[in-house]
Amino acid sequence: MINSATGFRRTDLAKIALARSFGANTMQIFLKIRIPMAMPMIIVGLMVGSIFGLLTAVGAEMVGGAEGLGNRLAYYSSLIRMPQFFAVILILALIGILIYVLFFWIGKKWASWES
Amino acid sequence: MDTALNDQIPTFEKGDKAVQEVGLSNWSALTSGPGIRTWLEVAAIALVAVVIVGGAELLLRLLEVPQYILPTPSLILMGLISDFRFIAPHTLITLKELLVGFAAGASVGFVLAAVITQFPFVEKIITPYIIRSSPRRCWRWCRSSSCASASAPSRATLRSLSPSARW
Repeated sequence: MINSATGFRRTDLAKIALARSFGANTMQIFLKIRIPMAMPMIIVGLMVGSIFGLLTAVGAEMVGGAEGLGNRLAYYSSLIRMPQFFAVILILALIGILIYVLFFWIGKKWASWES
Repeated sequence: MDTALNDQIPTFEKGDKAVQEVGLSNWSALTSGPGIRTWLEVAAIALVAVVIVGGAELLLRLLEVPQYILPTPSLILMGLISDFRFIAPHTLITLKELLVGFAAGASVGFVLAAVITQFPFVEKIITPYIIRSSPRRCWRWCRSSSCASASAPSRATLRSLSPSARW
């Protein structure tokens, strides 16, 4: 949900700017020009959204999941097995960094003209 | 539709334009600075990690911090290795959840963005429900321009909404 919201907010700006400069005639041209133009925004939105998604997924697992890394966190902390607890946190951090690197790479490949 | 796009949409999108641009440029400034050139720089970067991790290890040992408060990095690594076969399947489950949620959210967001930017009327209705638009800004936007009155806002109205007043 946050993902979609962020993606939308990011998408909007560039799209509107271009639509206005073009006069926004046909639907087809509209989409074909707008979507590539909004690509950097979209990718940034996806990146932020997916990291938020990781956060919420783990949080939900901690509260009510029967499996998953969030559940592992709750399990290990309840047993006071801190090394394993921090190991899980390490894995989560790695996943977050991986997401970032992945989207940075995607952005470089498909939206290199901006930023 | 042309006039509608011209007049309505910038009224509430203008506010966080600066924020977005700063965010983008900040990230690029962080990530694409002066590139890593020599092995010396690579070594220095690795050295920072070694110093931080080693320093943490040393400090935790010297200060005799109990293991149940903050375990040393070596203990964490050992815990990771010894319990990896218990953690790995859960990692896969979390990754799967992440992928499914991402696919659902991203597709919904993309379609919504496309629809909303095409039809200003839909935008008007959907915008209050979007999380990142704060109620205050929404309210201001409603009062100032297109929500309250059917007529399009003038340039003067737009200009009177300075960025500081909008937040």
